[in-house]
Amino acid sequence: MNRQTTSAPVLLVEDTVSLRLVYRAILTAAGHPVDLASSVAEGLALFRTGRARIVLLDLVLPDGEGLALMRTMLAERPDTRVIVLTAHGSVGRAVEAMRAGAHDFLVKPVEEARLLAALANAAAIPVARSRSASAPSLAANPIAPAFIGGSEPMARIQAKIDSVAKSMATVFITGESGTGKELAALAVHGASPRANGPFIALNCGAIPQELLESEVFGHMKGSFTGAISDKPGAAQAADGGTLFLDEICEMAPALQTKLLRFLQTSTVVPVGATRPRKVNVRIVCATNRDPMDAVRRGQFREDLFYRLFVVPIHMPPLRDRAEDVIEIAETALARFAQEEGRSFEGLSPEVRALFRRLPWPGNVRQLLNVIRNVVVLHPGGLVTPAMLPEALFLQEDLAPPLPAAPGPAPAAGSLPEDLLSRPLAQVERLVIEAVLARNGGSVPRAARVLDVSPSTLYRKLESWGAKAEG
Amino acid sequence: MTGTLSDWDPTDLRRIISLAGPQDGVQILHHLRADLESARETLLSALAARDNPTLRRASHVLIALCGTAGARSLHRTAEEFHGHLLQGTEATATALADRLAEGVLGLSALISDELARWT
Repeated sequence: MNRQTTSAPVLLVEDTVSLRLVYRAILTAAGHPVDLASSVAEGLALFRTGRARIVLLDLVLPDGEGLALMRTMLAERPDTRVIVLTAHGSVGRAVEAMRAGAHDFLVKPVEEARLLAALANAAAIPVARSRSASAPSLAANPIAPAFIGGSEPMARIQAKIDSVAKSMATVFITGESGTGKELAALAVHGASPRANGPFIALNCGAIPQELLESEVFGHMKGSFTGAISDKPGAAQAADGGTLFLDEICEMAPALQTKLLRFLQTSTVVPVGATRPRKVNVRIVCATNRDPMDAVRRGQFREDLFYRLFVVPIHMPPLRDRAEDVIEIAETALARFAQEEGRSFEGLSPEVRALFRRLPWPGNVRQLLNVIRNVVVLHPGGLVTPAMLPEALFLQEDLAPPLPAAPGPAPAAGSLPEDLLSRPLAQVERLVIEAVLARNGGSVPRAARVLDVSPSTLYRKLESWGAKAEG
Repeated sequence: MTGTLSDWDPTDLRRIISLAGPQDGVQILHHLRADLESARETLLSALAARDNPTLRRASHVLIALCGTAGARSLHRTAEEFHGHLLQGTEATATALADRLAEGVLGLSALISDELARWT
């Protein structure tokens, strides 16, 4: 957990007494002095007489709109960072606040880790500011470089990052694709004394092996065909900062030897150079494979592994991060909606239930893609299952089975007399409800039985006002 | 314990109490109970008056309070209730409101027990 003392107090404007006291307890324990206000009038008075640079602001206040208060504050002191506090279902208002200049927003109930992370961001901890524009890099994460979600596994990771960041120790990050390994590397860099230095990311799996040595260590003019000028490598570009080597297990054995030498001597020898150059670089590396398995298979040097595997950090898959899936989805929805100029109210209960149930094999990246898809293809409103990409429902087969719900089973064999005397629309509804009941309320499974798409069923259920189980 | 409180987990709440210290911690619990009871009363009276804006405000407060108190299922019920208010599915919202009000009553009792631990 970040523990820091800011000289200027944080202004907290929240009208629910117990929540105000809870947030104050968290902030005070983390070393932040706090000014408390419970209304627009009180908040504005304290803002004008105090020195607060960061404001935690509830959007619903008894004597007026938090948004109006924020606008006044930003007009008077534009460098103020306002973090708005909002409830689930009011994400649309949070987006409005972001458009009006809010620095960030937090969805209630606000967890300790998330609150402190938002505050650390607002206090301008220089995370990721130093990424070199010219350096090879993974695709930029569309979400701001701070972890979203206060689940227990992520709180442990944050605590580990906080403690390891101050040292020079090499960090080895493992985890499935899409779990945020580069984000973790950025967090290590951002919380380290090297935060003002460069952060250079290199994907060892994405660069042809014959070019990788030149990318890592650089080359001299004329050292090979096409080397038309001297070029510093990533290791040199990261001098004074952090070099992030992603997919490290994909590195060819010959280059592994050179990397080991670099780690042992802190010197680089560009391709074609005769003299080594001293650099001061912290190494963070990552892989989505089991590195020990790569060692056992002889694909990764054991001595290099032990040199790198000093502080291991394992990024948990999204399916193990409990409610984080909802927090990430809501945050992404707000941010993407802001980018696309759309207005969404949040996720429907059915979508939330589905998101909690899905296995998310592509992890956070997959979730972000789903939300992006929704935002791009729909004008706004509450996100319902019918708005989700159909491929998502196929994953339900991978999810744990639902308990069978009690309900009337459809008639087998001959058609009952009762059915034959009803209008077709009613028959359709009865059949769909019966198939749903037989399939434990699972819309995708019922859709397969009925040979229609899940979104067709969701649309019908919505039109009947029925509650689908996802 | 009612169904919506069977998974009540006071771990985070107790951590906040310990961060606040015994005196402020007890204040937090006192106010948490009072805020829960006040939001419940608002919920019930707004429900009787079919006052949707007030119901939405009450559900906002209850989402935050139940989540902060560690009542996970009740928190989800509050979220669901809020979702149905937005969707205008009144019958489901009313049924959920009853469940929510009953759960909040139980949660208040649990907070009272918690208070007794600290006083």
